[in-house]
Amino acid sequence: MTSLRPRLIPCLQVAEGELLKTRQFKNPVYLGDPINAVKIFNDLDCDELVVVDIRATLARREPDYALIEEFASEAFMPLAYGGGIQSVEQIRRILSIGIEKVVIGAAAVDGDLISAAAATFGSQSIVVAVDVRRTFLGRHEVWTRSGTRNAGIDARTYSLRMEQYGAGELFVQSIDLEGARSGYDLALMKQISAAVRIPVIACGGAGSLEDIRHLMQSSGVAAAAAGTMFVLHGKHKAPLISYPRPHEIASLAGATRGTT
Amino acid sequence: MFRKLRIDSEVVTSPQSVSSARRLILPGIGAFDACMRALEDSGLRASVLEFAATQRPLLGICVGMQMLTLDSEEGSMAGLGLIRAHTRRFPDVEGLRIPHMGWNAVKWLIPDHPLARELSTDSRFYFVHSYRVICESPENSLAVCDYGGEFSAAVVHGNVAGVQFHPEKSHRYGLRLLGNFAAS
Repeated sequence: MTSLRPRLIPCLQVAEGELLKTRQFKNPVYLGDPINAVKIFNDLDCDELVVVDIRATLARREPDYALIEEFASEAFMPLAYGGGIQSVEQIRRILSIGIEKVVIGAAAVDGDLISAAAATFGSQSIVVAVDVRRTFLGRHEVWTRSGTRNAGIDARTYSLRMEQYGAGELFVQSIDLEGARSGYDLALMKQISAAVRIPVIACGGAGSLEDIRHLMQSSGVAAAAAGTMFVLHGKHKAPLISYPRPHEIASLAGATRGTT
Repeated sequence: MFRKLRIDSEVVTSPQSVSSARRLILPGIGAFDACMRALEDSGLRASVLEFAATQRPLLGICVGMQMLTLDSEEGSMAGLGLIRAHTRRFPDVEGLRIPHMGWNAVKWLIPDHPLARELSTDSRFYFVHSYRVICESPENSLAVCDYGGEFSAAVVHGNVAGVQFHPEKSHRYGLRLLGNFAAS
């Protein structure tokens, strides 16, 4: 089998020890205790988790190692951490805590950190965040620093470059659709996934398992990530952690071949 | 994870503590040469080999398993050579994404092996790797996994075993495997 069962990855946003949720990278809403959330996702046999500190880079803060250590001790599943990472030494410290992967955003742009980190820790530990805004003309532009700085490059070219530097995986997120629950940017995901050989995690816009099924059927990405869908419930958006059962996830994969 | 299993464990860094351990886990995350060099620089290479010779249980995990083999296409340093196997890159096949990253099923070729206890009929594990182990002799292949062709997901030679997947990240299947190791 050359295709794996799709991975379903909750993406948790944190800052100053709080679990938050933004929309289009703005207006963070407080949801609760992130460690408790990690614990619940662990009990639900979740495939994998991504935790992103959404303020570390902007505040020029070091990663919150104490918090990361608490995540690692609660998660018997793969965990990726992102936010504020700028050096090989920081990556070493995070991986030695027992985190599998680091997600690198702004510091990935010039390529040096990615090359050095891939050579030291192996590509499989290095995920590059590709945050994307769609222009009026339909161009996909890469933005960094929580969507505040235009990197001046299109998403496809950037993704190929990151693969070349040694990234092991790409976390491609549509900023415009983040928190919208209206479905993924399928054109974007399809384009990136077809361009690179490394796995692509798609994020931004998931509102239901149907959205994920669509993504899996049409885009060729390796994994679907979602924030809102797994941490908020109903039209009033009450904080509630949920995760599909194993057979529901398996059915998302079957759909790729099963439907006519 | 060992805390959850109520099993005493500690991270060891000196040859003395390696030789006084009852069981030993050789973990590894990173590039092959970097891991081999780290083992050598810490002065633990010889103590791991001595430990293996005493017939006490040794488990290599991920690159730790690859380090048990003779060599790796990822680097130029020699492996520990405890398992007659070679670590090779996944083939360049259209549509095969590398690294092999995610949950995959494994087939236990020695289902009554103590490590495979209660795992032989249904188990899935989390994998993250770009290089895979090919055994010279099929009898060292404890379990196989299929990703662009079969490779050894677990290897064994007497008291020395290795798993390519991450038991510490594979929920209850991983808990079971580590429990099996601690009871072996």
